Amino acid sequence: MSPDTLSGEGQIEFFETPRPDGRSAETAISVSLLNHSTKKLLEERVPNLWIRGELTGWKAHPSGHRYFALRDEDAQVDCVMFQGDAWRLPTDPDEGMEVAVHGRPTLFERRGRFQVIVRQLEASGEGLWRIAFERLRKTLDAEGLFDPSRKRPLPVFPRRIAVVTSRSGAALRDVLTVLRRRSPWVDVSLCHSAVQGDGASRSIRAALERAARIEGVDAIILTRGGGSVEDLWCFNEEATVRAVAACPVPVICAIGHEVDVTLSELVADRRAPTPSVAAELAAPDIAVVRSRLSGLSGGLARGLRRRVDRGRDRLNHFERVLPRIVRGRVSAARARLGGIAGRMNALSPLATLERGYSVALDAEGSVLSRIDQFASGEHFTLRVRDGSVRAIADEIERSEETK
Amino acid sequence: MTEAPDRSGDAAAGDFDFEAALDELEDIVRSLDGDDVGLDEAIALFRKGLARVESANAWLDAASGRVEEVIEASTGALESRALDDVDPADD
Repeated sequence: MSPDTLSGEGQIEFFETPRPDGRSAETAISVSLLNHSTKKLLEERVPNLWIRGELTGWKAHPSGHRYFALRDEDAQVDCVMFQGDAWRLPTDPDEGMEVAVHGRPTLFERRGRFQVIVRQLEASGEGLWRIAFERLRKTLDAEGLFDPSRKRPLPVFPRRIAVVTSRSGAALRDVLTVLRRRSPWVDVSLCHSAVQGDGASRSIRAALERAARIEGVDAIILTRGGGSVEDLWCFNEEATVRAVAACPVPVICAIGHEVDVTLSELVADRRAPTPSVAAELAAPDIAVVRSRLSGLSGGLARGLRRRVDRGRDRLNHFERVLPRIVRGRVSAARARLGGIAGRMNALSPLATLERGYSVALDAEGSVLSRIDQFASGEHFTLRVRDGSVRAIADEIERSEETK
Repeated sequence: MTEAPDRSGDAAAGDFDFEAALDELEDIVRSLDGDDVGLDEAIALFRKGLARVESANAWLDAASGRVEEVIEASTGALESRALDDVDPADD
């Protein structure tokens, strides 16, 4: 029995056994042929369409397929969305929600049921992504998962950073380029993960868990490059977001471009606009580290100099104070000397000369005041008021009273 | 007190704790600024600090981090392997 019979040339040939063409009881067609032919006809004639309507009777089958119906005031049509497409749905739509589906009207042969096989489902208005995002955001917010007090500080000087991303993605290249250039001492551990598609959330969670188990890991960068809302959705899935929030190691999260905000980024300890910036936040620039070192080195030198200066200051103090003390003593001594000189003036030989006396001096200028200082025939000088006289001792005689 | 430069934090030791060296340096600088440090002690602190600075710089010069991929073996243990094909060094 050829399924082409109904759609053939329409010619009726007379074989021994009449070919079924449905034109008489004798040539009645089977149910299978009816359904099969109708399905074929439908699929040939009706292209993929966008259909809008009110959603009702949403059922998620354990297999992952979703069954529901679309209706308007007068009509209703059954719909099925298979797991291969349904996993993309960010959330289950609500009963009565106005939606548009893209799909192919067809016939389910076994039951003869007319239905639409839906590849895509979008809620009108703000859309299913937005609805799902806001719904989960509210829940997590109520639990305090976005609370700033939950954010842990990033390590100041990390030695090992784990990167959770795809091993073939541009994000990994960006992160590695930045880390190698700015922080060459850092060990990097890649924990590969799918970052989009069915099962991505599970893969991300497993990679995060691996990353947190790495010995000595200081921080985790969770990242991927830009993509469609759908591509990035795995970072908005509740299981992913909760795994980020629960990660025992600080997480820096950079998903998509700067305008894309995912819930994983909101619960992470730090959010970065791009994978490169995430790498910059994760570890300091070697130039900054070196300048801190040289600052400390300068601090050492300054500290020692200050300490030495304090010692020198004390010395300088004595240097300043001592001359003052010495000067004080000198001038006191000078004043005393002045007084003594005044008093001595009266006793000075010069004053005596003024009064008409003369004084005998030897060649060195010492006063000759006793006879034993003279020798007969020797020269001496006789100092008088207005000059000196060269003299010779002629005769020496001791005076009576000193005998 | 003239103590030889302390080499315990030498960069040659593989597990040089850079951050600890920085912390120690900061402590030393703070001590040097204090009033209760004698001149000999100050000089010893200065020498020790200088040794730390040298070790830290040498460590930075020599430091070259590894890039590896971490996978979970069937036993559940983590294993790491070199990740050469995405090393951006050739950029």
